[in-house]
Amino acid sequence: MSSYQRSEASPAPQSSGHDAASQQAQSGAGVGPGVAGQSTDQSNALACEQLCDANAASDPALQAFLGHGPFGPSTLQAPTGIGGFDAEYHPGAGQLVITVRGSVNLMDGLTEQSGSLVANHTDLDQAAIDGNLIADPAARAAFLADFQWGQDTSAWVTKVQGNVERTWSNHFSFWVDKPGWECVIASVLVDIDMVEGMSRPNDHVNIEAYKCPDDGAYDVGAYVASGTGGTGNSMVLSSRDGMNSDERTQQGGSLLQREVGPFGVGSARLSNDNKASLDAFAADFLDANNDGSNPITLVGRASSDGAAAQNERLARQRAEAVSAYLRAKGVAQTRITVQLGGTQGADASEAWRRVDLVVGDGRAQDVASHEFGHVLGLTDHYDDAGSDADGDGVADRGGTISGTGAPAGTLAGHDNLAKQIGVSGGAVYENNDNIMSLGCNVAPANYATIGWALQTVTSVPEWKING
Amino acid sequence: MIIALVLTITACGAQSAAPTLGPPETPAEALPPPTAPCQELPMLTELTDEGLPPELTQAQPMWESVRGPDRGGAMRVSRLYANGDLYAWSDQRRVEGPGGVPRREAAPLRWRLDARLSAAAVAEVEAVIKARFMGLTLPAPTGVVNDGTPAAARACVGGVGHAVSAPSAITAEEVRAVEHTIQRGVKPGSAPINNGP
Repeated sequence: MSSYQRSEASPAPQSSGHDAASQQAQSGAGVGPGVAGQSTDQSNALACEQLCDANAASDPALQAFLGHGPFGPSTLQAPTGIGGFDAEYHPGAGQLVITVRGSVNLMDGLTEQSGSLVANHTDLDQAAIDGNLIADPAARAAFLADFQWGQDTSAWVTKVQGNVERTWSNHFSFWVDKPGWECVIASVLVDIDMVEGMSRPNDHVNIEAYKCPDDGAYDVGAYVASGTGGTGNSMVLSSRDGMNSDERTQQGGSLLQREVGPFGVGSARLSNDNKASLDAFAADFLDANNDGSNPITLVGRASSDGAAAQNERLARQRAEAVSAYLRAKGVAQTRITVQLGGTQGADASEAWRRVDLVVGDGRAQDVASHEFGHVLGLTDHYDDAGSDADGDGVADRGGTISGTGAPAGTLAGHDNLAKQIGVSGGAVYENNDNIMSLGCNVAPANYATIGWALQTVTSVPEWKING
Repeated sequence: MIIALVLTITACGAQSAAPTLGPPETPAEALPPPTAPCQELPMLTELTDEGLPPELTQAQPMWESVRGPDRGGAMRVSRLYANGDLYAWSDQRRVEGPGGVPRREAAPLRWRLDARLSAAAVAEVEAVIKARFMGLTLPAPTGVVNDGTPAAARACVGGVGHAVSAPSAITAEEVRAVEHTIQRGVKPGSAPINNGP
């Protein structure tokens, strides 16, 4: 029998229970590498628990820790000075629960006032003007409808909540890097508790979500403004930010996918316009730390005119021409893969005389998950190579991405926190498929503030990340 | 193409980023006052004239609003001139979609005519600017903004200019009142839906 009451003193936490994230997290508790490598299966978990029992018998501090009730919840703001959330660690369950409470105010993008349309967010000012130009009442009504929430607003809230929880929960676990404590583990459940309506006193973030057309013809840019002390944060979203990564990718909304073309008929020669596009691509997707996190896949295409074998050869030649140009621009050959088979489904149109460039997995970002990353205390990771801070009319670093990023290689605000949890590469700005950059993948460095929260709420600084 | 972007676009990162008027390297004490004769108050942007009619290239706009670039697109500038022309500088053009519904789509950066306001509508905008915008100060930004894009607004009425800026979308009622008055002044059919290359 254990000398401590794990399951009773530290009951398994209950999430708000609105999605699969809690189940996933419950079954995904990690095991410290000092016990059983990276395995997470139940037998190893049992072995871990038994080892902890044995260690605790001769280590009063460990015994006290394991017998402790839940640590927290504590409302925290990471040392990055942004965002805020509650953290609670349950020794018995080996689980860290990160809770973000938020109220969401669903705002129509446009409102009709005295027969005219007015914008409820400055990003939609042009939409109001465009709508007011419409003379036909039916067309005007159709236009306005795209900016008004329907009856079933709860579905949008639930979807965003689920997307964000799936993005952030249970990617990595933690263990304690301290002799005899290696068996102490923490899986991670991120619980987003969003309610529609007025803000609550203990909310971490107040959200305004503006209804915009689904096709992106008009949109509101998402952002997070941080408060102090973990609360008072505000977030602005577009209704389109309820789309998950797959939906957004299907709409062509990925910043990780570019095209170069059209090539001349039967030609693999790069035009000056093609070269300019590739120059911007190379500037946008620098490899900041040679960590291989932004590989590039080139898919050559060809229209259906001519013999199939000839077209496939031409498609490959086009991709290789792009590859050679990028390598001449300093892109490492090891990052580039030329993918064959790019002529399947081709038609005779000019649009098929192109090369597709895909960075990382190419998937579009789930924007709400990115913004909630800020609420979790993470800074951006993206390289704003398209910024023009010196005002000379040319993007300072020749790229196309603007915003609150920084030059590739700049240390992110949570870099030191990432290193403290054992991520040797830390966190740097770079355009890649990371959730805090331009994509939707969660990397160990993205758990930097979660790890810091675990260290803080348990007063154990030796927590390290698995994986 | 942009010749110069006078509105400072400051990367926020983990630091507070209060956009300021003036060149990026201008020290705070050298910033122009928020209210000054129009000719002495810098424009928020210095852009090419491509797409602007000749008679407007040297004209002071009555109202100018700027939204900085972000990951989703380029900077957008809107200017209302005293003659009622409302021009926008952006990387989008307006086209007529199915059913006569306008849509915005990607296009080269340049000025495009968004709308034409009547003299009465312009007078109403001017009155709102005088009553609510001139002398307006926005609260100093606190905390950090991530993914936000700096915004600014500038008015020139009766030879006097005034400007404000913020690290993200300007939500001040006074500024929204001006924008809403402009929007209400746009009448059906007062400008072509398809607004340029």
